[in-house]
Amino acid sequence: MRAILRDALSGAGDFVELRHHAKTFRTLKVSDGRVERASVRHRSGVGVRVLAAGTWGFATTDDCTLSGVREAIEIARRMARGSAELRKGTVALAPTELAVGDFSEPGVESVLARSLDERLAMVLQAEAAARAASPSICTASSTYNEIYEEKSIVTTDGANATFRLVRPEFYVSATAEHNGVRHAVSESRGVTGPWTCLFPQSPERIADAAAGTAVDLVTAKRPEGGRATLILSPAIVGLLVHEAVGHTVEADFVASGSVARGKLGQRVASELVTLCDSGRSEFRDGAGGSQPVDDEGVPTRRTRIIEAGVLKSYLHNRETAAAFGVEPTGNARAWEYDDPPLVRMRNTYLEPGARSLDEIIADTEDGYLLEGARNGQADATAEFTFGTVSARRIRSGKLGRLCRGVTVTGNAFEVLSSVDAVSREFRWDLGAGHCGKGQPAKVDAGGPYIRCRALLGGEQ
Amino acid sequence: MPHTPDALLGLCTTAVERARTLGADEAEIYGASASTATVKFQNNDLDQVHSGLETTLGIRLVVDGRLGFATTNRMDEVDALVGEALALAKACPPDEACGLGEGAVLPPSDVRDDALDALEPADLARLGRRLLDQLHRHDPRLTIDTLGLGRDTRTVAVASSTGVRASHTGSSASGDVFGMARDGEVVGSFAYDGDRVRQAHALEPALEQSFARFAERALGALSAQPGESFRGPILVPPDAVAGFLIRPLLQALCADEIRKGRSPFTERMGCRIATEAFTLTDEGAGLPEFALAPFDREGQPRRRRPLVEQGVLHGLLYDVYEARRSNTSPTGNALGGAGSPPVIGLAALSLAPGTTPLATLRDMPRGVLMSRFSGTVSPTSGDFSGVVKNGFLIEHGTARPIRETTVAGNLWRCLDAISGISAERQTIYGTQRLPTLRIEDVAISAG
Repeated sequence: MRAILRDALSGAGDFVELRHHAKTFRTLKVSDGRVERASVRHRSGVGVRVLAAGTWGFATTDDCTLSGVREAIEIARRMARGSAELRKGTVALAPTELAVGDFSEPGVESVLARSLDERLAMVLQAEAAARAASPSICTASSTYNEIYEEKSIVTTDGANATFRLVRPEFYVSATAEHNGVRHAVSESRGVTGPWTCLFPQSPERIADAAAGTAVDLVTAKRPEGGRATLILSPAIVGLLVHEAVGHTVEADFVASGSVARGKLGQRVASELVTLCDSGRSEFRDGAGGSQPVDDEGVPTRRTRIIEAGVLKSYLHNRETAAAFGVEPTGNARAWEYDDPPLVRMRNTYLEPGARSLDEIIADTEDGYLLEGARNGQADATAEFTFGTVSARRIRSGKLGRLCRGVTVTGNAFEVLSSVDAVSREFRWDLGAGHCGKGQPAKVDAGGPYIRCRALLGGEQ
Repeated sequence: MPHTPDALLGLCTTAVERARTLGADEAEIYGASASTATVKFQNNDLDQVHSGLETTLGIRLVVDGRLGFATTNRMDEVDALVGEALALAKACPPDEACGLGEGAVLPPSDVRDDALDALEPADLARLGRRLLDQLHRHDPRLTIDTLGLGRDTRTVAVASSTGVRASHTGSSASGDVFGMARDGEVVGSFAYDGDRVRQAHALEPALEQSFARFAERALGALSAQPGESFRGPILVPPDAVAGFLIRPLLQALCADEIRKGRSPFTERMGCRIATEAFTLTDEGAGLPEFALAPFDREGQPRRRRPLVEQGVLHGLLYDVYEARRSNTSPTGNALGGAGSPPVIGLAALSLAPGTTPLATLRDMPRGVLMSRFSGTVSPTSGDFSGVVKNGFLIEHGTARPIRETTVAGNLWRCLDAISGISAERQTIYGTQRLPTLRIEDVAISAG
């Protein structure tokens, strides 16, 4: 396909970026012993961006022939020129080293080689294991998703890259019932990489853990609400750094006036906090948002957003990098061929510290250990709200009663400024999560356990 | 331009025949062909204009009581796709309720608007620029992260070996705005709003109205102060009703949730589940000003029917499979496009208005106006917990913006704690007509 794209670029005139994207999405879902879904989705096409008269034109086509791509280039060019008078500023692109070559990720074959029968048996067995875990489990489901992608990106200024990658995901849910009260718990894994990364433990054990947590929590009470000392698990830390900090430092949002605007060089967190975003899988293999080259043809890299509490960098595509006068950070990402590349995170994390979780718990007089992230939203103000799976009371350095998870709320920068302990344990733990910003993106996030202060939304 | 209804239905019918030839006992092909034009403004300036055209086929096959699904946007890959769907079906255990629904040949339906179809990306860009300038003139503290406008002309068709033949073509235009207000170093909460219409002449007035709501909320959030802790009423405007209450309620009304025991409404048909003033209607083929295809994702006819009438549960949502499991008829509630198998859901709905003017509803001794809810709702238990966004503390009709205020409670109990429903209603993106609700006795906490 790269040869067709290269041919289509010849004599293009303006800046042209061509991205061929072929995606296969497989799903197997089992619920209460029944296969609810066995599906495969193929989607491919070419996304064409032309920068003409200082304005972007974007055309997409599912006709991947040379003539089809050339026609799309002309449509994009026409649209850029036709709307240029309505643009106040002029788009410029930061020069940078662009990717040339094949950057395929390891592990693709280890996933694709699994037979349909093998995958289906795994999903059926996991769901059965969840139901069999306890008589209290009244319903369960298990899902396997697999995204396989082939991309080629060429530009008139030198990008000429291709890669293949695979992103398998596994999800299991179990609902426990006690005296008419039901409580559902889900466990999920989502990686970019080989099968062994997806299942460091067996699917049945993951299912068993989800069912066990559901049984434990169905009789648990909610904690007391209010401001509290909290130890956040890597999953919740991941959600915090992604949703509440990461979005505020995406340069397009910074330009729009996010709370991080004008704060480069300022202290925004405790000196124990170093926060990064990387296209690679740092510390542990398999981080779900890994991508070797971004969708503008820029090699991905690690960006230190906050270093020892000081805000150091935003996340950029080529356009925002030019506007801010810095190097692109490889954060331009597009979900499918008909989505334009946007500034997006990849794998966002807090660097681990020196203490163990046990030491931090023993050192906590009064608080909660929060485990498991359910969902989350953050605001322009960096105020966030996350759902958590469980909360365990800590008194005088000892773990106490288990409570149902509740929401945790705060201002991300205030919470990060309150961090006084960071564990050495580290996990990528966004599970099968995707980020939404007009289009989905497979991202990951994680980090160590941290101790901080925030608002717990419990019983009044 | 997208395929004509006849051409797309022809493609689907031919593919059904190929699937039968290649070994399917039953086959259903759903096709979608769309031409789209969108413009996006970002960081207060035009970002890009986009034009796209795509046709997709979704294939559902049944072999020996086993179901497989495959979809592609490559029309030259239909035989290979049928092979994949057959392989998926054959790998699954059999399910005696599995099968496609009986159907009929329906007349083609057409809700296109020529003026809307003629909208070029440049026309949308000019309108977007006007609306953006209008927002900045209204108040320069408004900062727009994204403002998007789009036009979509779409044909869908479905054919099956069990007699379904249906097609529909329609056009729509939409717009939305997402941003906040910033005054020096003070940044307010996100706000967003938008609308969708079927007629070109309705686009600009609809967007002016929704963007005015956006401006009011974004600016209102700028001077927010911490709220107060108490148990009391919350006032939920129509767009928040959609996300906070209607979405989990619809999930609980799905027949598959009932069958799995994940809904509180199991064996509650004919029972009171909400306050007497609460009447929720499945609007079938759409609200009068925003017609939808008269058939669902499985080609079953859509029809208007009550779901909850005067607080009493009257109807559940069924697709063909769940109707067969429950020994009843499908209700035309299969949703989805060509890119995925059908799921149960509601395409359009309305919640009956009350008799209280909105101004009277707001006149609470003490309560919170929750413009947006950011948090979690368990559709199983109904428990909710989250933060009030763009919220206001109202005392005897006087409102002051608040922040860091959480609400917690149980949604199913809230249905019976609705103490007021506004006479005024708002239509959300053409498909949900909803009033403002006042709900009593919610735990409100301030940080």
